[in-house]
Amino acid sequence: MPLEAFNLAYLSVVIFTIVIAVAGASLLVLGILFRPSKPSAMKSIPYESGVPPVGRARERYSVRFYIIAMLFVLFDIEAVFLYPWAINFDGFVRRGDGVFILVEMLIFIFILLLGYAYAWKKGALDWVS
Amino acid sequence: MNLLISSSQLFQGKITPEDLDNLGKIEWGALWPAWVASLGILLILMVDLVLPQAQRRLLAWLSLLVAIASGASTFITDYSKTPLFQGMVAADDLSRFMAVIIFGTVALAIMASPDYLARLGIEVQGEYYALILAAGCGMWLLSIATNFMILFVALELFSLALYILVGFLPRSLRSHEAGFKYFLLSSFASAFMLYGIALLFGAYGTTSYSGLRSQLAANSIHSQNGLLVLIGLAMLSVGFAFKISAVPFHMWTPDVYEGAPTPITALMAVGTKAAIVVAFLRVFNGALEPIAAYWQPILYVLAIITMIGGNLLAMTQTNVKRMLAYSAVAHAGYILIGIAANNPSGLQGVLFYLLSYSVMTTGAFAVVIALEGPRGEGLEVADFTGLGRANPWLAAVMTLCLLSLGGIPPTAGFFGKALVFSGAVQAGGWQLILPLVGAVTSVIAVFYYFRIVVRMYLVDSLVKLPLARRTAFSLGLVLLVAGVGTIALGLLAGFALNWVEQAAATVGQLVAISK
Repeated sequence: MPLEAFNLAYLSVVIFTIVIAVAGASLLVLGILFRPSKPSAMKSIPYESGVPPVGRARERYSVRFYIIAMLFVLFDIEAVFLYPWAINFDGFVRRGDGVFILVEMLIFIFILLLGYAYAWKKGALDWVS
Repeated sequence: MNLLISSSQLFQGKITPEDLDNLGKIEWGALWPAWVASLGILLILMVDLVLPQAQRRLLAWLSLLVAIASGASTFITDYSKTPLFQGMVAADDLSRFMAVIIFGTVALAIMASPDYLARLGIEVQGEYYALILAAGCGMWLLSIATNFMILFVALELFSLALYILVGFLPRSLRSHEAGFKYFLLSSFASAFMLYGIALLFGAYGTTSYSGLRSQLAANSIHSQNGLLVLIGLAMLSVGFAFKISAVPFHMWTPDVYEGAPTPITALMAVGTKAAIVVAFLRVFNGALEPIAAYWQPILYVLAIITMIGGNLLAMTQTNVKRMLAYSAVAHAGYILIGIAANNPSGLQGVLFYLLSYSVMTTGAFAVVIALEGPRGEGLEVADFTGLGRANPWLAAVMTLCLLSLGGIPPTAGFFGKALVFSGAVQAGGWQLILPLVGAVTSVIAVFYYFRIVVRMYLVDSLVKLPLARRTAFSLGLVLLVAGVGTIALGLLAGFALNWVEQAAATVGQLVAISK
């Protein structure tokens, strides 16, 4: 690939990076300009109201996080598969395969729905039990 | 031939009708066993939700039905003998053969479970049976894979199910340890395998067996990519050797087999091993056949040390489950002889060995299941004392299976060994050492198998309570199938041989298709 073509192809990435940096920086600066300054120990930790970022490595936390994480991955993946499906849906409809591709995705979602029902009924979603 | 749709096409909605036509027909009909098993898993999980606890024993029967239906559906499947799904899976006689072995084993493991789980005080849960079926489905897919991608996905499918099943006993630390150990070591071996696949892909840019084969046949190993291929081959060998538990990669086997619930141990010893061995055949005797001169020596050495190591270590065991685990290691050595021989009779030997090994090992483990106590006791060789009088039928099945494992005619095990050895003899040359070592180690094996037989019949002592327990109907059925199978495969070996011959020929057909 010639150098010019390379530059053009990735120009959007560069612009995107600059926009993000400028947007982030301007929000911080605006905050400094307009907010009242009353610092306290609690406010200056990196994640306010979150888990203390520094502490013993062997701290315990609830095992339930792992079930939530696992369920999240499941539906996360579903979204990842839905995205290209939705984008290509139009092409399939024009080809006359609209029903086919709709049914395919419904089967997929139905299987995940069964998984959801299973997790729900087995109490994986109840935080207090 | 590049049939893949690129991810940029996929995410920008640029799939054209031509791309879809190139994807070709989707041969849904070729994967009946997998569809039936998958639907069955969903069904069992849903029924589990609505069924009250008291009736959950029905789940065992439901899952048994699914396993049998999966196995039987392979006979209504029309295998067109060509690789399907763009060369991802093979639909041939070997696929059918494996569907019978694997779903048969799964069915036997399911049948052995309810009584065992009840005795250990475990509430019957749908996921136990769903996971067994998932493992079976993965094993079958592994054995029909003709592309490294499917190979790896199938491997993970059954491994993930087995990790959970191995650690299934809730109050047994040993079971948890076994599950965790299996998880860590098995993932490590999977990583090796994946590196091997990546290097082979790096060398020739293909993950399909037939593509790799034609590339290997066309290019000399001394060419530019030869080194990549050889390192990839070495890594694949390590991965496969671990998975079929060949010495020196066998360390996990006794601990995992001992800690797992015994029906799962039987499933792993038989189903998993059969699936891995057939994947081994398809990769080594199929895809990597052009460079056979490079992998055969690896397998000679592995086979020899596995036969010697497995049998010697089995000799020193006092726990029957552990002894059977080491004997499973030793049997991997005998199977490796047939793979290393790399000729039709060797391949037939391997497949017949798998068939006979599955019935006799299932039988032996079924007897162990019948005798195992609520806290995992009753597994020492000493606990078998007097079984011949306390429960003649159990003792008879155990004797039969042990005779067969030792390779005494006219049982199934004898013909398995004889066929594998004859493959090596036909190959000639250095390979003549293999049957020799095999014969000597078989004698060692007979020693430790007979220690149990002697205990059962010849040593007189008070009959212990566990021996007098009634054997459950479903477990009795497993014992019957295993016992009859062990004799029938020995006496009527001819019928099985015809089938095995057809199945073995298809490993060669994969070769023919690629040319």
